[in-house]
Amino acid sequence: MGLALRKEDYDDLFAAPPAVDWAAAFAAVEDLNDLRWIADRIEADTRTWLAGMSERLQTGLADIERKIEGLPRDDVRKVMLPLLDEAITAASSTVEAHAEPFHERDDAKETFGKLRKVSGPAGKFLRKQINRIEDARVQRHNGALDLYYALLAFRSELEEDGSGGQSFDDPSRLGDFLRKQVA
Amino acid sequence: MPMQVTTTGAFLRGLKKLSKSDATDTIAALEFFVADHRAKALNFEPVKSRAGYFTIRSNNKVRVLLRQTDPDVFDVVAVGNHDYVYVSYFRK
Repeated sequence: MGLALRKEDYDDLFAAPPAVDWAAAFAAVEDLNDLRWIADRIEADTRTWLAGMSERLQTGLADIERKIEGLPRDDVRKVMLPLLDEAITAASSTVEAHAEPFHERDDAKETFGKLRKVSGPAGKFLRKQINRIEDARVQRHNGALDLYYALLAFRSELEEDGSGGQSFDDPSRLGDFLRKQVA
Repeated sequence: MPMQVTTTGAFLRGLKKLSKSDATDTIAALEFFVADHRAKALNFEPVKSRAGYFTIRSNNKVRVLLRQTDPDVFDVVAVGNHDYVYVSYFRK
């Protein structure tokens, strides 16, 4: 088969944001400036990943579309669907890894419970750095979510029955039809 | 003006794999979408990295993926098991 698509060519294209090892990151914190440094680094990594991800994905998928144009759909599906499934699973894992605020995780509750008690300027500074990291966590989660749905969208285009189903413009008729499907 | 939606085989397969309550929520969301796709509860959002695609919220863990084929016409192409999250700030 002459399908010039190799998984390794698309590793960067489907790359998730750089992972943060929260435990290791906070083990290295000895003073408040260390925490600011960690927040700076996480913000910068997040910005870099988000800035490139969407454009890289759109360009990469357009490249795949060019390469598969005119090729037998069965051959394309044989190569592309496993590759996309792997990428979707990876994106899904990234979404899950960023689903919960790190300061609300069960394994961190005790530590953050103590940090809540820090008052004055030090407490204010501490909360500010933690909330900068929380903002980055949400940006990473929602960026990975966009990647996940973009990959699902591309996968749907390759699937045999991408369209051609029943059409509805009446909510009740649609609901009745769908309820019969799951009964 | 109501939207027109076309169901696809991939979506119906995904719908059947959902739990009963997620499937019920998904069907309700799609009924709502046909009646009023801009309803705030649906959280109708474009997929930024894939032009022409949108998602709506079934519940806080399931979203439906839609492909726009005309201004008021969408294919329902898949269900996904993730939703957007919001910040939860660390407070005193």
